[in-house]
Amino acid sequence: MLLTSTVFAQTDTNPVAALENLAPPSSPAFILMDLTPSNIMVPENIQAFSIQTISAFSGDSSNGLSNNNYAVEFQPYWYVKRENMNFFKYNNLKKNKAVRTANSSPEDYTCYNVFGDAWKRASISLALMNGNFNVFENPQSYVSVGARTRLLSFKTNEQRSAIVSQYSAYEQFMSSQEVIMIFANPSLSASEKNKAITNLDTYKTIVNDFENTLNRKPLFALDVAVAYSHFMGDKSQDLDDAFGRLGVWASGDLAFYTPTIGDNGHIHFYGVFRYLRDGLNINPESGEFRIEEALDYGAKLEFELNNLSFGYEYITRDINNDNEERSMGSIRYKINNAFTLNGGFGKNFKSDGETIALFGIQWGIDFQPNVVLGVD
Amino acid sequence: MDSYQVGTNKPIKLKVAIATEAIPMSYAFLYHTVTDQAPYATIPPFDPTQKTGWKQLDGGNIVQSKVLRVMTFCRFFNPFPNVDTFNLAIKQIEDSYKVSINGGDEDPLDVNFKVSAFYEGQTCILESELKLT
Repeated sequence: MLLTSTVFAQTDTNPVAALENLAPPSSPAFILMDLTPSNIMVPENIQAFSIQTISAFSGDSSNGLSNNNYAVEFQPYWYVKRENMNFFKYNNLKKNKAVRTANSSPEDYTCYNVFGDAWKRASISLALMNGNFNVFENPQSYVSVGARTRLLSFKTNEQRSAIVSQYSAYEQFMSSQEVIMIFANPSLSASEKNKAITNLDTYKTIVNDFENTLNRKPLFALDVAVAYSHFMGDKSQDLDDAFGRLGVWASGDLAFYTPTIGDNGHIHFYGVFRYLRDGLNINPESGEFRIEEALDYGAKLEFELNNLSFGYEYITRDINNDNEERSMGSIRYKINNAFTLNGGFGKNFKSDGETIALFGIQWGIDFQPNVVLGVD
Repeated sequence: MDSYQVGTNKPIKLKVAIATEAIPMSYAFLYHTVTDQAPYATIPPFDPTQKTGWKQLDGGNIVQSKVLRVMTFCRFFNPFPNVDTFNLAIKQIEDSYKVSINGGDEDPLDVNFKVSAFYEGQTCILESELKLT
């Protein structure tokens, strides 16, 4: 289970400007309602199923979000039986069409499936939110549904060759007499065999090199998302349910591997585009809901150094021919697989030039260091 | 332990099938008795997702009253954000793994197996044991 907590703070005592348009923690259903440190999010390493919550500690929750904001996000890939899945297919490597034998060699995988991540990384999210979003006097409820995926990605010939080469090295080592003797010993339990193999120095070296190769980002990736939020209405205030907000967005990531700044060092150039159809506006004269359309477009430069990333993003929002802008620095530090710190500071949409700081903590709770499953 | 009647038939063949994101490596060993500590014949290790055909036991010779042990070691190289997601990947292995033996007096047999998964190192081991009569 993943829990996400986001703590908002700002230099101004009025929290409305900070909460308006801030942030996507993770799921599109949340992102749509503008709640996070960076508006450019990459859908990596999503859990098969996660529960997320956003709590706003703004000093006066009646002006912003209440503490009743929850989302679930799941990846259908992990719940659907895969056919003919293997390591190469998972890493988007395809055999040359001329190769049609029962016995394949790693060198047969010379092609790349640029759409290979679209299904694997697809996720669906559903959120329940409660807030006034600077529209209503009292917090109101919304239901959001969203989806996102990596539509396409591209790895260079050098990146593909490195994967094939690492596979061959791993296969060769796992076929060595040293490894065979461990598996052939019937007096060792499965756990003892696993420990004996994974404690071998050569195994550790090969696996570490292999993971570094696979961790290299694709030269280019395009991520897309769509989400819709519906206003549930409030009979006590004679408000019917209504169109809430619809968003469609895409972000491209051009990543250059820079081992000189770290084993997993990358420089990223992101471009982002977002279309927003926003029904969360009230006409001051008639009191009726009014729909506005907005286009966001901008860029982000990010340096990724192993577990530390920092960057700067600039996004323009064209709304009814009136431009707003977001200019924010962001920093992320991954302490371990279960704990990540996020931070953002700068000028956000509708913040009227005031500096905003935003910090988020994301953590996962893992139980059971290993599991044993029996099949009879 | 399950058994399979091979008689004096030859060749006796083995096939391993699996669908997984991990790299699986399969090992097959023949022993004279169940308590033998070392095998008398071995099939060279192979990745069953890449070498999908039948493999002959003991070089295609007659095998009688022997014990066959088949092991597959899977190592995932994709990162898992949590143990629950890892367990779903293991479930996929459970559902797709099949060790088959063929060539004896009986119809082809799917051999039972047990799974031991280790989240810490992103590995799992599948073990099958069969008496050949």
